[in-house]
Amino acid sequence: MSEVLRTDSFFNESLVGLFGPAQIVKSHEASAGKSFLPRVHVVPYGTTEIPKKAPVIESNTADRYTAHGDILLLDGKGNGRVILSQTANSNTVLVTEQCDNLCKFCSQPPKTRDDSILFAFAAQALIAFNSQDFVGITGGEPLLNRALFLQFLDTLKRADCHTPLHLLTNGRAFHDLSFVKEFKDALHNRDLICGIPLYGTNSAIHDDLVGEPGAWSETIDGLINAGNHGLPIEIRVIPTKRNVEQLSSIVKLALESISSISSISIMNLEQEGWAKRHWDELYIPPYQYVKMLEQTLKLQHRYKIPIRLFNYPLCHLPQHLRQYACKSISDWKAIYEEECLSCSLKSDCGGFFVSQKHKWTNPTMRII
Amino acid sequence: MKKLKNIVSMFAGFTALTTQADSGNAGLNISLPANFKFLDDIVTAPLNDFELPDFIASHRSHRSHSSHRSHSSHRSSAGGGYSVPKKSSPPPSRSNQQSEPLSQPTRPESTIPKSQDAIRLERVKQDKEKLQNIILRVQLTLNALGYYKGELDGIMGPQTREALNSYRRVNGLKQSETLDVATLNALGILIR
Amino acid sequence: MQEYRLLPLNFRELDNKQVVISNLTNNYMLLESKEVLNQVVDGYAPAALRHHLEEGSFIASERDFESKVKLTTAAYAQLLRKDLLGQRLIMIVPTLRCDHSCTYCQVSRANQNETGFDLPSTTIPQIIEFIKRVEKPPYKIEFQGGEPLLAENFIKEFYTQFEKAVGSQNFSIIIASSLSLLNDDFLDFAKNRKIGFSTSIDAGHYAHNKHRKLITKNSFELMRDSVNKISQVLGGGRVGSVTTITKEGKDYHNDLVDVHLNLGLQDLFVRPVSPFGFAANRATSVLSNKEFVDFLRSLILRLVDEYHSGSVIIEHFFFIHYKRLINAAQGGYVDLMSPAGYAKQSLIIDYTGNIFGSDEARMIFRRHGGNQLILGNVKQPSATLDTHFSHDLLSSSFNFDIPGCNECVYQTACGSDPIYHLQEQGEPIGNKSESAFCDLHKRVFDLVIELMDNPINNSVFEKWLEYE
Repeated sequence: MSEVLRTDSFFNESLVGLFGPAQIVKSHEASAGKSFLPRVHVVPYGTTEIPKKAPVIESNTADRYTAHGDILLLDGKGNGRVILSQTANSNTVLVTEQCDNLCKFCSQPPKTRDDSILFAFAAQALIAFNSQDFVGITGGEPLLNRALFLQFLDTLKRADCHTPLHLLTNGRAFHDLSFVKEFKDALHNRDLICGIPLYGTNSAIHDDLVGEPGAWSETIDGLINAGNHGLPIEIRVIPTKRNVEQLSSIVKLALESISSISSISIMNLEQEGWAKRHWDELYIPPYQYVKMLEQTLKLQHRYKIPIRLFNYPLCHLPQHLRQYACKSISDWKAIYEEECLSCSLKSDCGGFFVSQKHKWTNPTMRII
Repeated sequence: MKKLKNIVSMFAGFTALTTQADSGNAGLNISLPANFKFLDDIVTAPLNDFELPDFIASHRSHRSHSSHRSHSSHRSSAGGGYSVPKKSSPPPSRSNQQSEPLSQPTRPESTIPKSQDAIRLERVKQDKEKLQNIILRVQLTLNALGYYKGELDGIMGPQTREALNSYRRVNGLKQSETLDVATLNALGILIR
Repeated sequence: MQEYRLLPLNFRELDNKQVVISNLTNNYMLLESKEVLNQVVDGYAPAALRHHLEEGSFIASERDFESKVKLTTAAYAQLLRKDLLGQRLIMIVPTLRCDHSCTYCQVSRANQNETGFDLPSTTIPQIIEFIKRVEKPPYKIEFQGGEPLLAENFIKEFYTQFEKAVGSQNFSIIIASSLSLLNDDFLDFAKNRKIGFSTSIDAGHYAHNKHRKLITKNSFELMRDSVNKISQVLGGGRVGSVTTITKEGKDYHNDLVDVHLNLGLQDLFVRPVSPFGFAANRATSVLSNKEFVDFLRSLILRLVDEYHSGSVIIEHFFFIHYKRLINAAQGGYVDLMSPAGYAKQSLIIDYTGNIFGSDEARMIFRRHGGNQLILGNVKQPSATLDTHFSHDLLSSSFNFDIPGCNECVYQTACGSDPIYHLQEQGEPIGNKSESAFCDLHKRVFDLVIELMDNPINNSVFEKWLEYE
């Protein structure tokens, strides 16, 4: 029996008892079966030549949304989720659920159990997938266990995996100069961009939002150190009621002080995890800060560094700002409301997070 | 305004002055006020990571553009570009595993009776390719966890054995010269 | 924030009694009066200003003080890096001969038919070898004169050989010319090649022909016809202009804009008569700095109006000061760098093959001599640069520790020109209170602050940034 839970998730009896990363095999591929990971065959419904030995998912949907070589993560109970997909517009692997910040809007609240095995899973997945495009590394805080992260980079290098990485970190670990040097050495010229959030021009606002006194000053040190060592940095800012007044100042502060910034991302608040709990305290609809967005976006012409908007459905932005919005929500995570279906801009629009369904989808500024 | 017509002599005098100033400074040990002691720990200039402009061989990044006054090509200074990642950058949507139907396993807990696992392991050990893949995953995992520094070759050599036993020691598992089900389970490597 | 700590700042009172403050992050703020400044310094900053002061790193809470100091040092390091790195402009003087005999000519000149004032084309391989040794692609080459078009064969030959040596994608060439001698043959050559022109257009038709002397007295008309021809044959965007403002031209800012509109030119650059070289002796037409800045104000206000009526024309002398003041990425300009752009952002090879660190250095050399200013000669096999004196000059141009600059409110935006002060005051640092360089740039920065304070102007300047 197999069941498609969502376009990226499957249940299959034959997967029961399998853990960790596995690689998808499409039977019609000539090179099928070269992976060192356990293999899972995905075939369209009604295929007659089903391989006998390996687990098989027989499903048209699964077949349509997966490609040969995609990586599944299996939970031992028969569930598998695609974590690295050749057809997705971005891929991300989770390396830990532990974190030293407790952000009010954390989409994935941290846990404290020892989960170091996730690093090993991530390394195996990346090596088997062997992408030439950027893959996101996320947590938790991936640099919380610094030794483990350096080891992770070393493992990838020794396995000859050159996948460029986008590391989502709070940057606090980089306040330690010697770690920055070790980190730089461990990269061995691998392309790596650090996505580092900065939520305030001072500690009062930032530390309150990330729930950790002292976090701002460590992040500032980290940004300066990482930038000075030539690590490309993407600065991320989430406008909330608390910090929206200083949005452009945050971006300006970063651009004038931090070296090696490659881009700035303004991210719309996601109704995920703890953000749901703090929604009324934090969320401010974009139409209430259009002027501030304009002022912030203008800075890209001054500093010649791109500033982009993420997770903003186009109908939540006035027309002249839509050009800066990126279609960031992965295809299979995006949903469109019924009235979106007839919208003329649907193909350019990121839509809404799947998980936000029935909560905050409300296409306030209908384009249609 | 005084104007020196003999620029050559002026140069000589100037050089002497700067040399004097240099030697004068050499003896000074400037110390920061206590309030600013932390400045000693800052790597202020990003210059350490870039080559300084050398007059002769300039291997420099071409970030800024200069323009020029005299009958000039200020126009030619326009241009330059954004610094963007060479390849496509992943969009920054944080993955939301939390809300998804599957959460990531942290420690695999086998639901299959042990004896069956042991039989499977014996079977796998007969299949050369499968065994090699399993050993490679063991090596990758032990390497990622910091126990193994040897080749990633899928061959059970002395270093792999040693790494396995160090891992077992730390995690309270029984020492062994071969792969066993308990260790594989702990490493998140299940076999079929 | 009830209590705060003050971070270091510089200040300057403007003519209208407002006070500009700045710090090493190159942030600027306009305060209403000296009294407000005193309140800020004494710890009683008006509540409405505190956010801005804090965001500009002028004040910090006790808790954030260390971080703010670190951010300030980091920001200043960014500024320094911007001025230390960057592409060098390499200028070549293929001939000193000229058809014009301009009253404010900076380099002297030789008559059109004289001999011994040309770089022989046999030096081209040596020049190319030298350029490749001292600079990395993409190369920016500028031909100066004299009138470079009197040496058009040299230019063509250089282009061909250079293209072969470095590849057509790796360089661009600007020819600084009066355009009076531009012929169809050369225009044809420029087609499909990366050749642009920088020409002189003075404010006022009369002033142009008066100062840019041709026997035929029609310099302006020849220039106009050539610019039109370039647009027809090569398309738009190939010509930029440089305007020298003299007494005769100072009331003609509207005329200047109209000429540019008619010629379809988007970029202009105005400058006062250069105090360098031979121009320094002919002071009759020289404007005071105040007169020049008044001209600049009228010109910029006209250009703001033009923007609102749909025409984008950018004046770059003002715009560079603006960009320096707001930290813009492309604010590099050899005169306004700290350390100076001399030798590190510019080199010039004159008709003798001598190499100088800047055009001004070449002019001083011609006027006063001083072999130390010669950094080398391209004719010497594998010419290296003698940089002993350049190092001394550059060390004297770091305005962070120059008396007069170190406490100037415009320190982080401005620069110091050691060559100018060498000529005027006999040593490269100079007494800034007597420096016309200092006076001019402070006035222009004051003008930027004054005009930026009006949001209507400022929004236009911000728009100009999008045309960079």
